[in-house]
Amino acid sequence: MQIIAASQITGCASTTDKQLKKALQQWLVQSPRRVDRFILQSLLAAAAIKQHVQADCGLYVASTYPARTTMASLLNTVCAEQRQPKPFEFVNSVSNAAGFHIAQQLKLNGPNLFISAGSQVWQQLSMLADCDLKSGKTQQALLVFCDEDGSFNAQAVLVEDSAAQLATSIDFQSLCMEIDICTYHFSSEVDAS
Amino acid sequence: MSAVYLQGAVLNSALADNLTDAALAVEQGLTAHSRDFVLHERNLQRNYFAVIEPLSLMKHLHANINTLHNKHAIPFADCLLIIASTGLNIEYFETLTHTQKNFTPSDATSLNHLALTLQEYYNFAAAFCINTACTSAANALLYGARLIEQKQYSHVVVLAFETPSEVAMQGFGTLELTSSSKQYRPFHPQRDGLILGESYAATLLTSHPTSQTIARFLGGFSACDTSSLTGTREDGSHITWVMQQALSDAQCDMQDIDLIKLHGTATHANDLAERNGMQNILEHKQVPALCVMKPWLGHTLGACGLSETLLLIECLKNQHIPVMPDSQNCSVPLIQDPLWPLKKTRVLANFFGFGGNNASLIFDTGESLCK
Repeated sequence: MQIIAASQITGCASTTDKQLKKALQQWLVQSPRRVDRFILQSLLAAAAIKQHVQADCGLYVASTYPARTTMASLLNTVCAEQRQPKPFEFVNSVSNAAGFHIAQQLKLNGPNLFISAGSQVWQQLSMLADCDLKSGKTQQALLVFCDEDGSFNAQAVLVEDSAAQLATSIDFQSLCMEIDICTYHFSSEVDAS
Repeated sequence: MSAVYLQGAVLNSALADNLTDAALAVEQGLTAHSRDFVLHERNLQRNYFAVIEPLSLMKHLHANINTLHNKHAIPFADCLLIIASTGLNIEYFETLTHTQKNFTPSDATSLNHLALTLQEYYNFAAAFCINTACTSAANALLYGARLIEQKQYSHVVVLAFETPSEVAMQGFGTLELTSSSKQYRPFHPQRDGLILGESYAATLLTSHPTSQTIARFLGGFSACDTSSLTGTREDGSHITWVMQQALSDAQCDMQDIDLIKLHGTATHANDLAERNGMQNILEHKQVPALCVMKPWLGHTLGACGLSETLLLIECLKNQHIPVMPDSQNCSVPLIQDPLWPLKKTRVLANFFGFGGNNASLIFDTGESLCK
């Protein structure tokens, strides 16, 4: 399994969506409009290594939680206030919306999966990617994991060739130990790279 | 890809609480169990295809796994569980919001909650959820089969469901995609949108056939059309490409296909794109038979890849095919004769979803699957 590039974007609960959008501008010419915090975080991790990504790359995204702020807003609108949801909020609540925006921004036209993240998330993402790499359906696989529980941590790994069987307990750091990880951290006061 | 086999099928839907009765209901011309709901603020009535006997989500999921296990002895310790659903436990969140009169972001449980609960209860080797909108179950079947082909697992259980979610009902309502006529008529000139449906489905994938094999999965393809978050490009070119890639993966040609199960949501944009995507096929001398399944089940969203597949397989086993009433003037030539003459059928099944996900699956069903 050849790791081509990796990124890690971290921040805290006080990091604003505006800060996320501003950071995204350094990698993307035109950021998508009307997207939520979860999409921005996932997009940041992918965009940070976009220069290495080919069009026939498969995309495999995982998250621990749904887009929590979007979910809360939708539930309060529909169930508590008995109102119609905003169309873009409803559409953003689909878990694979982040995958769509990554694919659109990075111009990827291959497979695009979204899975729930558990303790074996990296093993499961690479196993699914391996299905497409081994059969020649893609030449690259972009694995993205996003976790937000107060602070957030979005990670991306770009791989080529067939992925060897990974240990079930493998984590991001072990996976990327032989390459430089592109990191970006939003501090609590100001955004800094 | 190498063939992978579907052993057994469980389906609780708005037609019946089991697959045998659901296929009989189709044959007898019965319709789905429907209930009404009102779109907030607009005070417009819509309908929803609901299961006849409501149970809690966990009871449904345990019932499906146990039914499958009783017939096919699932080797849990060597088996991967893939859950396919768009809403997952959204009903729990909705109930909590009604009770608390509020929902905070920290109230949301992890996306892996159900998978982990079932993995620990049954001792599955591993478990995760696939959520790619309306292609969730199609992708679960496709990647479950590929993981078996690559000997990652010997068995995969695919559990697909969609619960009656208020958020989904109001959400599709606000996008003006729900039918006001309460008639589900894909490709019909007077189609006016979709009717959502509730369903709980399960199947077991294995590398070897048995006397209880219901279908041989030959291959498929799934990819993302990045032209729009809510639909595929209108000219149908991405749909055509995905079907071609699926045929290539299954190592067959369109002339080998006996029947195409269309996605057919009955929304203006989807049906137009799918019709355009079928144009090349429709110009062939021998066009495969075309059918739709949503008029009987509703649009079961993330579960449709399995619920529609299983109901179609059961109908074909009875040499019967669902024929939509008043479908003579549809924009695609849907099958008109409910008597299906073939004892073995090769099916191409389309599933498309939000997030640009388009998928096509190819499988054989009928006699001689063990050979």
